[in-house]
Amino acid sequence: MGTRDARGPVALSSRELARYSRHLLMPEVGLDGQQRLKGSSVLVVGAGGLGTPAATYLAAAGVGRIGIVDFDVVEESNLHRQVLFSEKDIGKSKADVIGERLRSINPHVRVEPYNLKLDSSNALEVLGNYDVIADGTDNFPTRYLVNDACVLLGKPNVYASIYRFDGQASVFYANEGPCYRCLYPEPPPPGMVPSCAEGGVLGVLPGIMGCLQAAQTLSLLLKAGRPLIGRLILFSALDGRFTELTIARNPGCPICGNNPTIRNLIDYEALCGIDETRLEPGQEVSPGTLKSWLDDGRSFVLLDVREPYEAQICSLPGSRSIPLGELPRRVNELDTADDLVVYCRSGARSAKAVQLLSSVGFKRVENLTGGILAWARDVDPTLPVY
Amino acid sequence: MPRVVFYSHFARFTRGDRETIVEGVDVKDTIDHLVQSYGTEFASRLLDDLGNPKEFVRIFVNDKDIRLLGNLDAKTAPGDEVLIVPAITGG
Repeated sequence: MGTRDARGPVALSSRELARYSRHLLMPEVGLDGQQRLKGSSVLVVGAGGLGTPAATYLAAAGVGRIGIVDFDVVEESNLHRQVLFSEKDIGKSKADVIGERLRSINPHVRVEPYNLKLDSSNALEVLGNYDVIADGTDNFPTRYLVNDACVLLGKPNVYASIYRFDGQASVFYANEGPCYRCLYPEPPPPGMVPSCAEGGVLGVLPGIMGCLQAAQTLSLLLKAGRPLIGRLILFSALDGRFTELTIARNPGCPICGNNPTIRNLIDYEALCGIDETRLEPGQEVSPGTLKSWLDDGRSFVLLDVREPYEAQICSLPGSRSIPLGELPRRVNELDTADDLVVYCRSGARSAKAVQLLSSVGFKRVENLTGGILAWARDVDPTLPVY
Repeated sequence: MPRVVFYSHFARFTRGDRETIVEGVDVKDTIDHLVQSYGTEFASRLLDDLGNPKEFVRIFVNDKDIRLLGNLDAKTAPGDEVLIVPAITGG
């Protein structure tokens, strides 16, 4: 196991010895293990709910070099779970803020922020620089990208994901067990599985799962204990229940199976069907134009495809609600003779709805570009956003 | 009769049930009873056109993936736990 090979001893200063003394007392870590951690490197993919606690504990534990990838900026809606960030960080680059925080938590570790979007053109180069990868991303294309890059590079992928009150965690390491594709061979179609932005998440849940990722990463680096290779942990914050499941390598897996067909990174947006929701220019309407239509009394149906609990937070006046997931079976509630403007939170789900409606005979159906977030930004700043 | 547990967003298709107890001597029989109870929307979220679990939903009996137990033929006994675990991607 290349990434778990013993490394040469890396000397610890007297201050480091004092800092890590509670580690040094345990035989599973000890001086050798702490030196091993100092000589190790981990890449945390995603500086969100999972990545921030994982990176925090890895830095505090003395992992010598920590990379963190994220191209987003800190938003107010991050703060209920991403507790490394504070109010004054809103609008700043996540990678830069986390770099600064981790250096202040432990000046003995080297932090390498990557303010970029991981994709097929850069993933092998970025991941190749690290011993272990901790996947805390928030979308399926990057999940499959990270998995495939880890398999091709022969590196362990310490995985966690979350939804509302539920978490999943495992270690995907194709050299010794199943990979992510062995567990879930194909991604769900766009819109079938809600993201945290759509479905919500209990703030403390990613803290628990991100810490589990950090613990698993340390277990791998220290070669101590039995990592979650071939095991999937489910955690329910509602029931306070951890469930351990056995998962197996799939001999037919296209990337780690007996006869792999994927030998290079592929187009993961296409794999996940993301590019299928691009609309024609005539199928998009800006918030400003929609406002003028409403002011002019133009006749059209304003269709909200968000979930009912989202509509409770804010909605546009006069809109009808049919959640995207219910639209295929409720489409007959709409009249193809009507003009439609469809909206959601950010414009992604409504773009899918526009495609669906166009495919079943609606001739004049348009997507509110940027969703209700853009409306709040451009037209009505008093509208609550989420 | 096995106890079936629905994880993550699957409760959206089970009228909010996070678990239930149904008849079923094997996984296929159990799923048939679930579809009778929860309807076609539930079935379309769980099964492909051939009646197999979709590739982004895993089913476990007790602690084992049914692919290790004979897939839909995996036996289910009274007191067994059948877990339906969809892929999630929040981070």
